Amino acid sequence: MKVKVKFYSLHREITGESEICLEIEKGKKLKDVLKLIFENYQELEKLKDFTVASLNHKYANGEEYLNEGDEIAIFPPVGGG
Amino acid sequence: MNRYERQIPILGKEGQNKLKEAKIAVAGAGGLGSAVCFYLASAGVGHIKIIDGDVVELSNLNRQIIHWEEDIGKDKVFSAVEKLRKFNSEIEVNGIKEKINEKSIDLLKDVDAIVDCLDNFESRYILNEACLKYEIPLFHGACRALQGQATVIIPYKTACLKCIFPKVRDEKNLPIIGSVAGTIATIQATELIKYIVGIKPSLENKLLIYDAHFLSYYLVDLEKNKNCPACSKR
Repeated sequence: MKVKVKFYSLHREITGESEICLEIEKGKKLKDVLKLIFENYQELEKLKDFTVASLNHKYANGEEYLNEGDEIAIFPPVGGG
Repeated sequence: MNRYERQIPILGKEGQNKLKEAKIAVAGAGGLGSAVCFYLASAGVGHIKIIDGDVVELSNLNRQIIHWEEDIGKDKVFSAVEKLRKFNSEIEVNGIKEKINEKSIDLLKDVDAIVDCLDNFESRYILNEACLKYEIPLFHGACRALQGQATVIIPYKTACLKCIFPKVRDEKNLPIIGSVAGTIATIQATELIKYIVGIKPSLENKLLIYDAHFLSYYLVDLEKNKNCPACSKR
């Protein structure tokens, strides 16, 4: 099944992508996809502990099961002002 | 002729009076704080308290529009207070020259709401704790490069800053554009004005991600974290 992943801020700067589509097996959780992303984009590793994710516009902790067409967004906390 | 005649049709006379009575603290007189201060003062927020411990530098001027070339070397709070008093002489504006820390935060406990215009998460976490302790709503905003974020935190009712960002990494001298800070600041100011006059802020329990690169807004529904170290225990 396919899911969409949107990257914001530093995540977009590092990956060079604003949005990707991933083909994953059924029964996967959000944290599995995040793991896959961090493996595919190794430079994201430094942001791993600080990455915030949402699933279909809802704040997510990674334990959520994914469905066809789900939209994941990942972003870092930004701290300037 | 009334100074506020163009906004009273929206806010009502009662709403305008609520603004006049409101006591608001602006934490940080930098990029966010500059625009927040001007818009709260222009709307007629009656009592504004600004807290900042820094001094104006040339490199601040790309975004901190309340400070001008003649202010370089001055304390930011005094530069900001001076401008706001000239901008709207009908309101009370005070400055506290202090950085946010466990002690100085107590100076803000008598306000109705605090606007988070800080530039680092270490101070923001202290502000978050204080807002929980004194049950003061916190209007959070932050930005970096072409991205910004904002949310409205009502203590113990909505997710707090620590629920949303349990771990952070502060970055020194991060890239920032004045107009992006201004966009986030005007959202913070408008949400606060709505709150004061009795219109429910749209960003309660919602995180707004603003991406100026694509001119897009992304909203994320938030929930309190029942294990949050900051707000799960009262």
